[in-house]
Amino acid sequence: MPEQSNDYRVVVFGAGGVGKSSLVLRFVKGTFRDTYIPTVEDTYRQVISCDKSVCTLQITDTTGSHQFPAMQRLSISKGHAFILVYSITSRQSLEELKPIYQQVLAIKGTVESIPIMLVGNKSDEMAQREVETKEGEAQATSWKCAFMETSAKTNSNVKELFQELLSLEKKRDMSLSIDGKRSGKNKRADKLKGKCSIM
Amino acid sequence: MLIFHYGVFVFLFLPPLVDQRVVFSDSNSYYQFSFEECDSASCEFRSNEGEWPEAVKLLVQLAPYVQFRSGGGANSPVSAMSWDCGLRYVFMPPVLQLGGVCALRDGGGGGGMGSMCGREELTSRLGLEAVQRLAKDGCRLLQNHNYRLPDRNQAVSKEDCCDPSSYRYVVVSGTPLKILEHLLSDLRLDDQRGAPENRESEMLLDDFLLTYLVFMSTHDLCQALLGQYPFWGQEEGKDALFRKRKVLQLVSHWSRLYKDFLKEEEHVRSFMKTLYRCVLEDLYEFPTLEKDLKEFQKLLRRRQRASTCYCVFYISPISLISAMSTTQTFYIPLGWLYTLGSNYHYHHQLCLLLCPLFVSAERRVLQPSDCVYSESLTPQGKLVACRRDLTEILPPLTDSAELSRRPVRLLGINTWDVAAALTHLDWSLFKSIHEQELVYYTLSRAPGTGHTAALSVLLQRCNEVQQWVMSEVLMCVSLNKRVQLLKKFIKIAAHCKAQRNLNSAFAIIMGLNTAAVSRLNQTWEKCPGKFKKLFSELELITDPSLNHKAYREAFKRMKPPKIPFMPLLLKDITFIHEGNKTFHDNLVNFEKLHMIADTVRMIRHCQSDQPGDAEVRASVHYLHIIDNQQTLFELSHKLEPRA
Repeated sequence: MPEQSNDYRVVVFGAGGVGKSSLVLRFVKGTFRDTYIPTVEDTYRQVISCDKSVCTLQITDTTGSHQFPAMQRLSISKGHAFILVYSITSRQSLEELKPIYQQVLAIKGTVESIPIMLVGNKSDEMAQREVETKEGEAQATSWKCAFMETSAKTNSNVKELFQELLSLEKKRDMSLSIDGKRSGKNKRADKLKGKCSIM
Repeated sequence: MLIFHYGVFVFLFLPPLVDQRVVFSDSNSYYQFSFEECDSASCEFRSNEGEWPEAVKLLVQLAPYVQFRSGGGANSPVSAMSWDCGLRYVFMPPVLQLGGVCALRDGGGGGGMGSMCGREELTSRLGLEAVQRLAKDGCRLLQNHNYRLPDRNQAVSKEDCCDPSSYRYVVVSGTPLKILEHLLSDLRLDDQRGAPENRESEMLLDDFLLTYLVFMSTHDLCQALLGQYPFWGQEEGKDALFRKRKVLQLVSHWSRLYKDFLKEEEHVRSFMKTLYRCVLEDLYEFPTLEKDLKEFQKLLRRRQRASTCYCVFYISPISLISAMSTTQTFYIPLGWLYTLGSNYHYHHQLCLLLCPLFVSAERRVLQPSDCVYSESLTPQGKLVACRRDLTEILPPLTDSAELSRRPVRLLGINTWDVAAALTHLDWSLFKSIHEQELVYYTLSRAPGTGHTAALSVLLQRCNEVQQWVMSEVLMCVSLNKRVQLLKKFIKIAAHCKAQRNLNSAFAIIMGLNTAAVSRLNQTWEKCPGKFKKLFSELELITDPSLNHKAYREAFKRMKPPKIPFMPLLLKDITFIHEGNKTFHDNLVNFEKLHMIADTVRMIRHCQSDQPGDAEVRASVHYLHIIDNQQTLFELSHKLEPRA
């Protein structure tokens, strides 16, 4: 299926080893039954409800090696929402997100209306914690973005992460569930009755 | 009694008495016979000697059967043989060809065996099409993908493919040791190799050898193989000889696959030595092993190939020189470092320092006889080149005045030559990658160690080319020269793509696309439209949408030899590994291994020469020429006579 103009593109950034691929895998794996084949087109897509109809959530996970994840202008400029992942067990990984944030800012111009989520992954590894929750929250506040701690391993907060990200998008009314059931937050958004705009 | 055909294990427990009322209780194994199998030359069904026809006769007498209504003859329903072993199947023409062992029962359902009838009679009653259809139906009935054998002692669980012309069966799960046993029994010795029906077992072996690391260590495999080699006294006769030869064959396949890679491993070395000793001892009893022994000796004697050396040293706190060499020593052309004006001294005035990464630790000046060696790409210290008085060679790079004096050498070099040189280097790295390195890299948390050296260097190279592009552009202070540089890089990227080196092509395109470079609007605006257009086209191939569809399709269309964009290949393997379980209960999930092996085999495919290339070469090696000037003129006049 060719790319639709109303696809909603989410880009996931983060240093190597923070578990961003695991997060993405956790999220999309739900749509695959037995064998997971990562080379097909549909690997990172999921149908979601959008306003009164459906559209496709497309997740772009950055490639590149551990030391130097390739952040492309193309994925940033075409992206609608961004997930910046660090690991709570590595302060370094949070530091490495700073230039990434700057790049998003540089290419997008402003992050006002762009859903960005700062994610502290590996929340299950409490013994090795280097970054306290408060610090993550503080960083998110200074970047004016949302914050959440997740664990891809225990599947904690993974779905919530994507759901929350979708609800941050003000130009469309989106939800992970297609049957029309809306969460509390989206019921509020219902009142706005935003239309799906072609970006 | 054990019946064996093409590795399909059939365990039959036949009660000693032939009693029609005995219920066939072999529900833990299943098997299929299709008439296609009879066409194969080595089909045991064909031979009229041996146990097979007798066994069939016996089975026929024991088995219950179903009724089929035929077209004509409503009064005498005809039955074909079948019995239920968890799955139904139909016992068809092979049996009939042997001259008729088919039982019929009349419709009343009473006792009695009915009469024996010949093949012709059955076929004429059912019609040949019906017979064929039943056989094919037998095929389809067996395709039960969710069926799992409850008995763990079963060798392997198999499923049948409904298309008889493709794989006859696919192994999907089994215990590791059982899989090895199965592979060994399935292995066709050299004289039988190459036949189409052996291809799936060879593929299976290849899958296993590429991916065994996912569920067993190399040490375990060596132990298991030794366990499979029948020692003196354990077994005798022809069987033992076959087994020995098969183990040797597997080991040489393994060795051929990994070349020098295996030699590094301590376990493998001692395993090979032990095996060699066993074979030597066996030579007395089995002189035919001599040929295999000679092959084995060749393996042990193979010498190590030279690998590429890689070295990095810093010339300022934030910039480094990355160097590659195929010899053990590096010659660093210090002329490449930009000058400081009059303060620049030549190399004999410079020295190398070994600086640890941590500030508190001591710096150490290296003497010419010193040797620094690291197996990992993240060493504990970094090499720094500086002057004898320990001051830095280069001023801070933020000093524009100094930077403006830096010559931009790249502007004077032909872009095709640069691309060819990049590709040449990438090839030497790519060629030294062993497929197993990709598996090691995915499984281990510490990439860059001995097992993944070549792969890590290639990946590092991709990063470095990207950073090099950025560095060159951003160190170029003059606007006009910067524009020229952009044009150069765009052309180099296009040439790399044309030379089918996507690793460097991606690196350059991504380098030009980073925020730091792409935000230089004034520079990009001055770049001619033709180049901007070329760049947009190149950019498309790096579009990650739809799971890198653009790249995947473009790469698939390219003929080998070609260099892939390695990070994506690794990502695919990581996701296959993390997205699929290695074990289902205690059985190895071979489908996952097969997927990993397929992806890893891509390397082999990329490195190969295609058969079509031979034709191309022939067309330039063998030229048809008329060497007579007179004749040439005559031909010319014939084509266009003088007016």
